[in-house]
Amino acid sequence: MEQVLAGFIDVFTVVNILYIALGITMGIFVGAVPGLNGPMAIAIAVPLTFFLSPLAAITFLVGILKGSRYGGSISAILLNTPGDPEAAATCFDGYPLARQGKAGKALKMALYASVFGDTFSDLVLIMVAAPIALIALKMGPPEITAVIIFALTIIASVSGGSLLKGLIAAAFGIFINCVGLDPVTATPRLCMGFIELQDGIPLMAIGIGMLALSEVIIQIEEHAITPEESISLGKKTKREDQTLSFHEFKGCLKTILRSSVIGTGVGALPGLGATIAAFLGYGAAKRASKTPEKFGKGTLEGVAAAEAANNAVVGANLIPLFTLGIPGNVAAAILIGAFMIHGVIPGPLMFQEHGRLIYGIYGALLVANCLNLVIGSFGLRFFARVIQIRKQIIYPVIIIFCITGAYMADNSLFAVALMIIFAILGYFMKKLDFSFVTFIIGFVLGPILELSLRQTLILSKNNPMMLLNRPVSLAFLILTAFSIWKLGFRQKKSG
Amino acid sequence: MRRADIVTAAILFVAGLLTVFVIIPLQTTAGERYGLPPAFFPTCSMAAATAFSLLLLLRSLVQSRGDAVLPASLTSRSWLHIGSVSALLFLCLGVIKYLGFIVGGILMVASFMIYMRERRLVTISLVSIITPTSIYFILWNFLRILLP
Repeated sequence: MEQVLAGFIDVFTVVNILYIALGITMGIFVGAVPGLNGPMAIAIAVPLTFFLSPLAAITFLVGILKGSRYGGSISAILLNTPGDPEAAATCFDGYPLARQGKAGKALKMALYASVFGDTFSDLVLIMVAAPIALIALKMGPPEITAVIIFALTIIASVSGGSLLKGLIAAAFGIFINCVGLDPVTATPRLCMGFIELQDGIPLMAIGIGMLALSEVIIQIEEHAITPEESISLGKKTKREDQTLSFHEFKGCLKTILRSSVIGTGVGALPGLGATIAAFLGYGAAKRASKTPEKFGKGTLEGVAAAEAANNAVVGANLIPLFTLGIPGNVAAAILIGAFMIHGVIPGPLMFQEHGRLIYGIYGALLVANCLNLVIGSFGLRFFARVIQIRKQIIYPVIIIFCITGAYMADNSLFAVALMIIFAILGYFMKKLDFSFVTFIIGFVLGPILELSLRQTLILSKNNPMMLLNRPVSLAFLILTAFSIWKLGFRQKKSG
Repeated sequence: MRRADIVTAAILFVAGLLTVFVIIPLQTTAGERYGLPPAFFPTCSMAAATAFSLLLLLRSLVQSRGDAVLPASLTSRSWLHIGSVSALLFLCLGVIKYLGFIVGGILMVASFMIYMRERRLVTISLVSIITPTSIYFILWNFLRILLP
């Protein structure tokens, strides 16, 4: 209890509150620009957190993630172009509402639903993470090996269009992580004569390259010559069309709650992500509605359903990260890098070794939601203007931020060159529909998988059958085989 | 996409075999001191990637017989784009290495703005000069990080 109180009190320092607010503002800004997204901003911002306390660093990054999820809805509503894929379902009703002159109303509903969904999933995280971590602490190397293989299979199967391509990406990510010194014998592996590679390939070079720079390269290619038609928050429209009444919010409360539950459930499972949650939430709201014919033509319920669901993923995504050390999505994978920079290894042991930090993060998540509400409400007009900044200015500026971030992560131009190489690789992976998410998560989980597998084999005197002799690991391996069969069969049927 | 899948899977399969049988043995120490040899895990992961590539190749070959070939995801325009962007990035990285971050950064921002068909000289000059210069000075004055 003492740790809980101390952790929550830690959040309420001016510095921490300022960093959370800065993170949210940056997040909304980045989220509002089509083509830019939260994980991309987190990857670039991680090197900036070297100089912060662990709590300030993590809350700053989580602030970016929370802000970006709401920011994505701004361009979805005003431009009919989602700021990130998670906001795609928001376009269905957000843009028609904006065309009816109700952009302000739609944006406010998006904000309130986002904050509600986010808070709901944070509360679930706070309630369930510690008990799950207690169970996870009882797992040995064979169980951890089986859980990681299962998680990678699930992520590989749902992150892209093809299970096989996902598995190739995961295996390749694990292989790339082998570059550097062997963790047991400390002999160089796959360094190709480069001394710089003996420390391994920096996560930030891969993160910034694949998440940010490759996306910018694609956006530059797709950069439409025809300008997007933006709807501004008009002054000529009626006042009631720009505000959201309590009655209207109350009317959508049931939908918001349903979507929050869906988003939290989806977020707790590795790999599924906010886009799936948003579409599931939207679909469920449409099925439950008495007026489903209004969906797609501009109903507030549609905006509320999509936004509550995609934001409810944020907190829930941290459940597998905090309890098992397994990142549920690519943002969580980058967060692992941030944790490690500050000497914290995510997983069940974190509750024993860094209890105060965990409760500090919990407090910060809740504070971030309040700040998201305040900043989102007061900055609405400003953020609505952000989408009008021309891409010819934004993308070159982001490229120079990528170069700076990669340099800061390793203090060398070698890391920048690696970042460019991974950006090119990311470009091809995206074009050929190989999941870069699975690649990055495979890269992050590689060392844990290698260590647990080697420990298992040492314990069993090089007998891999030990994985099948322990009930929990056997259960997870059966689940893995079942998932491959089931998901592979489904993909085969769908062509 | 299926033609691209066949080519990609074939390249990955050949590259995987090359890695497993040539690169890994050459680039890792073979000796087993305690537990498993250092080459064990890279070999396992690359062998898995190679096996999955072979499966992808076989599946794409079987599927492509009956179905229409989907439009290519990598067109000649894509190759030209990624080639130009990569060349530009590495060129600017070279300039950063030899002439410093500010000069290289200005060149990088300006060249990408021109590449994106920005034609207003004042905008190009202002954005390309202000961005790298302010990043350099903010990092040095507030975080004591010296960029090259």
